[in-house]
Order: sequence, then C-alpha cells, then structure tokens
Amino acid sequence: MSKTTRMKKALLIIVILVVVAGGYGIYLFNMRPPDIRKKSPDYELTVDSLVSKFEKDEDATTKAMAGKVILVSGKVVGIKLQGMEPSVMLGSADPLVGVTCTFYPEEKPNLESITVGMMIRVKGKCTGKLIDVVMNNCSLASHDQ
Amino acid sequence: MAATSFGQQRYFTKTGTISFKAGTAVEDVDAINNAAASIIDLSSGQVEVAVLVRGFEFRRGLMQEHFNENYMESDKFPKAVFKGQLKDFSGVNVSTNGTYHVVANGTLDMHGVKKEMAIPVVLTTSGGNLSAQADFQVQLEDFNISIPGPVKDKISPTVTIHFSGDHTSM
Repeated sequence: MSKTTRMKKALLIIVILVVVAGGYGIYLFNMRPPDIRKKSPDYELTVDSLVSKFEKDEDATTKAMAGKVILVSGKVVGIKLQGMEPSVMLGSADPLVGVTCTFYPEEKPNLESITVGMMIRVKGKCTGKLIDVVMNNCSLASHDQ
Repeated sequence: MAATSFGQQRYFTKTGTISFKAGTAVEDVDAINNAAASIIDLSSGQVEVAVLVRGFEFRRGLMQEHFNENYMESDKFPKAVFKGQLKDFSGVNVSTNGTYHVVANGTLDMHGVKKEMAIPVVLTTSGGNLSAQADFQVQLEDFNISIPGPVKDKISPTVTIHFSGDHTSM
C-alpha cells in the first residue's frame, strides 16, 4: 500500500471518529433528563414515614433523599388536574404536612379515576420539603378500586 | 416554611409555578418548577414564596445536572425563598372580583445570598380565591453564581423569572 493511500485511510478513520464522537456528543447534549418511570425506587415507604423523617431532621433527610426515586403510599387529600403537570396531595397524620406529587403530563389520564380518600402508591423523585414533602416526575404505581 | 406564623386571611398554594429564562440568542436555557409553595396573608401583607432548587425541570438532562451541581449547588442550598411584605395591599378584596397591582418588598434568599428586592405583583381575586403573578429579573453575580468562560455566550448574566400561583384560603 502506498504512503498516500495509507494517509488517506488514516484521514478517513480520523474523520469517521470525529463524526461519531461529535454525534455522540450532540446526542448526550440533547438527551432528556432520565425518565423516573423507568427507574426502580431507592426507597419504599408510607407518607407518614416519609413526613416523619423530614420532620425529625430536615437537613439530613434532604441530603439522603433529595434526587432519589421514592415509592410512597398514602391517602389522597387533594387532586389538581388542570395545568401542565397534574398533581395529587397525600395526607399524613400531621394535618399541616403531607406529600405533594407532581406528575408527568402524560399521566393525566391515569389520574382521572383517582378520588379524594383513595389509597394510592406513587413513584417519583423526591426534591425536598417546603410546606409538604415534594415529589416530581411522578407516576401512579397502583391505587385502590 | 412556617405556615402557622401568619394571621387570618391567609391564602396558600403548594403547586405554584416558577419558571426562568437564562439563555441568549445562541441557546435557550429555560426551566420550570410546578411545586412552588406560597403563602399570602392579606391581613398583614406578609408573603412568602419558596421553591426547591432540585425541582426545576429542563428539556436537557445535562443542563439540569449542571444547573444543580455547578451553578445553584442544590446540595448545599436546596431552597430559594422570598419573604416580604406587600405594599398598598389594603384595597385587595377577595370577596369581589378584581385585579390589583401591588409591590412585594422583601428578601430573596438564594445560593447562600440574601438580597433585598422590590417585586411588582399582580393579584387577581375571583370566587373567593386569590391568584398572584410576578415577573422580575435577577443578576446572577448578585447571588455569587458565576458563568464559566466557555459558556458566557450561552448563559445570560440577567435571568428573567416568572411566578404564578392560584391560592386558596387556609
């Protein structure tokens, strides 16, 4: 193989590598945040247990649980289906504090059969506590009939 | 967030929306958070709005990751909170339908920095409920948020923030 042919081949390989690397970089750059619905929960607990952890030590619990996927079970005390992201509020033994779950917009049809008083299980990403403990990117795991 | 320290005529929401635009002509950098908590007390004029930084959602996962890890350091500073006082709010009457332009004077506590701000707010009353909307800007450097050189053309030093919330009586 002549020197010119070898150089052309090497250049072609370099160009292909650059294009593939660049394409992968663009793919990574444009990649959406992870779909929490496809993730296994890091924690599974009741609303009372989750609220109690935050009330005992909010800083430590935030460090441990913020950003983690949680499967929480509890009773529905409020539903808001209008707006971009529907939300459901779960009540706890503390009347002032519960769990606010904001759902993926595509989950709205699954929430239309949910009523106040129903026991449901919700999977989502914990982001911390304001008035309520807040979970984002939620999906309905199960509910009572 | 101390829900019990407010007086009567308290209105709250746990699902307020805060969105921001921090992009330039080169790139859109937008995010939204639909779980802001807000309490407005129409007897004293106190107002408090809080949001979890980790709750901001971006279209791109990398942008969301950089926002939390590099810019807002959400592990160290998990919340952004505005606490203030409404000015000229005595005319706000929730029992009638109306629109009121007021100003909230207070402190925005974000990324470990507290800064005094005066934020124009539009309050709308209807059916016994209270809606609030506010639009304002912040300078990132005021909150010790620095923009690395390689992305200076992509991230604006001035961020435009929008808040809206439909409040119900506590």
